[in-house]
Amino acid sequence: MPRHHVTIQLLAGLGVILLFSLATVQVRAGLQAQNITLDWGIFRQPSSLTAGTYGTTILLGMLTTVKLAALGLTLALTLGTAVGLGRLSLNPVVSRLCAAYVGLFRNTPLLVQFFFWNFAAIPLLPASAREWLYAHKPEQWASVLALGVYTAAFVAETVRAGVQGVPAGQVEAARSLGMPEWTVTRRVVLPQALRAVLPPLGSQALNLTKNSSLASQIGVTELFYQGSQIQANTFRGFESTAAVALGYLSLSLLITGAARLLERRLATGARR
Amino acid sequence: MTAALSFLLPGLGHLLTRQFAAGIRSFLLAALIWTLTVSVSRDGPLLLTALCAAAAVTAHVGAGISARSGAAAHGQTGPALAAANRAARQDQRRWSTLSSAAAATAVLAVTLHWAVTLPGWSETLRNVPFFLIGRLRAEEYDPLRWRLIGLALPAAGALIAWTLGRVRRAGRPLPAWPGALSVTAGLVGCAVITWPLLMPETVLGGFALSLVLTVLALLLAAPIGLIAGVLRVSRLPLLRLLATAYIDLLRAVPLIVWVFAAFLLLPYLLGNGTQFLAVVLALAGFTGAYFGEIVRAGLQALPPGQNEAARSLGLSGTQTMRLVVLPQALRLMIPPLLGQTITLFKDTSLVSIVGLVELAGAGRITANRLVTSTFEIYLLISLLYFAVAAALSAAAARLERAPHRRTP
Repeated sequence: MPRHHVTIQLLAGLGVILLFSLATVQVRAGLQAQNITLDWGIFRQPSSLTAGTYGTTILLGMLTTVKLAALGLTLALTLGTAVGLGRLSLNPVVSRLCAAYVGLFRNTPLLVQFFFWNFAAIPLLPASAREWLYAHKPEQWASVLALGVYTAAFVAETVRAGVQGVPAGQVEAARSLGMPEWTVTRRVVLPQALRAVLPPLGSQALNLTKNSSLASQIGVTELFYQGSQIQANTFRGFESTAAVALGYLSLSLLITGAARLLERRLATGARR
Repeated sequence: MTAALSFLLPGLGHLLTRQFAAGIRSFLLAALIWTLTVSVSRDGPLLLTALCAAAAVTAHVGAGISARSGAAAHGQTGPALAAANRAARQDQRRWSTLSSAAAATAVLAVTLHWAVTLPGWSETLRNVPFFLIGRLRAEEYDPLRWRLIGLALPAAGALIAWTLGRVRRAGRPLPAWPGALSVTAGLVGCAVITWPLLMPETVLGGFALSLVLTVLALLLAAPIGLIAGVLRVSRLPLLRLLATAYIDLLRAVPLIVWVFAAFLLLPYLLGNGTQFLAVVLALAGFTGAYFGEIVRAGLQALPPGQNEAARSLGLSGTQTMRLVVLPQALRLMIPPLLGQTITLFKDTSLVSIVGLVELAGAGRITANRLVTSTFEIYLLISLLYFAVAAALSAAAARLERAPHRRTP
């Protein structure tokens, strides 16, 4: 390794360490000026928000996040696959409607879509459905809908690209064997497309989990919501934000790992 | 009663000739159109009723005709069967296109009519100035007018530069200085105009604030992303590690957490009254991480021969990157970078959680204040976001279709 490479790296490392220590000193001084000391024991204190300690509150928030993400992902995958296949339909009306769906939901902010479903769409429902919803946590259903419908637009684009990536010869060969149209899609195109779309779908699942934090804005008690509630109740902004960030970090790592595992499993299946 | 029975009729022919998928499709279509027709004919204008009825008739006739040509294929053999099958498939395709077009027109017309005749529009439209600039009355806004004009400057500069670029491509090359001058003027105007906005007493709001936030965060995120992306593929392990840690950490946690954390903690670092700057930094840092990943992908997509050829000509690593690799890779990166910019524009809606009244925040405040016309307000807000984002998306798609267009 040339000598100037060592020098550059040493300088960069020192610079980063210097920056971090400066930031720590500054923040600590600022906190001390307001008579705040960091206290990580906060998560062992009994919670005024949920049962157990504040640590339990964070864990309960994570559980809600996971629930939202799982439901939203199910909806996104089903709807997204349907819309993605619809974009490839020979019927020009269907393919154009599906393209409009993708364009519409991809080009509006997710936060506005959360507001739309929760504050604008639910009140329009017929009275009986509305009453049932109001008794069963309407904001959670609105969140699942918003997350699912929004992510479905991205899933649709992924599915379309995956299906178009299957060589045309495969379809022609299957057809010349006398397979009906639907069997060609089900047995030949989709299994091959699935392998190609798995990595981008994994990153969509990750995005969806991170996006579920927006549900806090319509009052769903997920991870970010619980974090900001702890901050409001105990004025421990630094500790609660760090805990929330750590929670999302571990969820992200879990999803990335799971996606990688699944990819490897399917890849070996292809080689066999 | 007739209506309930009538939507069972189309598709029956399909089922009898064993075309199950087509039969189910016809049933669904007819059920949709019939419920629509019945509800519109109860209390809707004559035109819509006629439209829905026409759609229903089209669906019925189409199902009948394609079922009949399907039946004609039965009992045939040999080449006659193939011909009849082809004719049946063609018939079905033609009629299913026609009847789904009729159904889509009817549904869209009814929805549009319903949305336009909602009672809350006049009240919503009275709040449009608030959505656009965060102020309700023009007088309140008077001292700020020059700033708004200044905001238009960079846009005008970009437009002029773009037009000149078009002219140049079409005919003989024009001298480059008018384009460069207008871009410089635009950027200077941008800096002068947006600088007062960094002051704590942020005066802009609504749509204008969304645009200002996008531009400010973009100006900061571009260098961050370039540096992070180049370091991410550096041969120096420590630099690579630092860039990887930055990109992965920022991308693993949602933006809303970063905005909240920056709003709470960065003022300790930067001094009092820097909340606005902190929020811009959070947006820029987050977008910078995504930009970095795009830059990395672009650098790695370039054939390694480019790098090797430059090195073998005796260029240093920095020179290779600056003169050979980056100029080529940047061209590949433009569409994804534009896509990420659209995401940034949409993500500015998140700053409403810390009390900045940009477009989404303005909508939320107005919806809470008026209570009655929630649907209209959120529809209008969505359309405003959609207009900008869709225009940018169309530009990105066009660039993606012609990625290797060389400038002379």
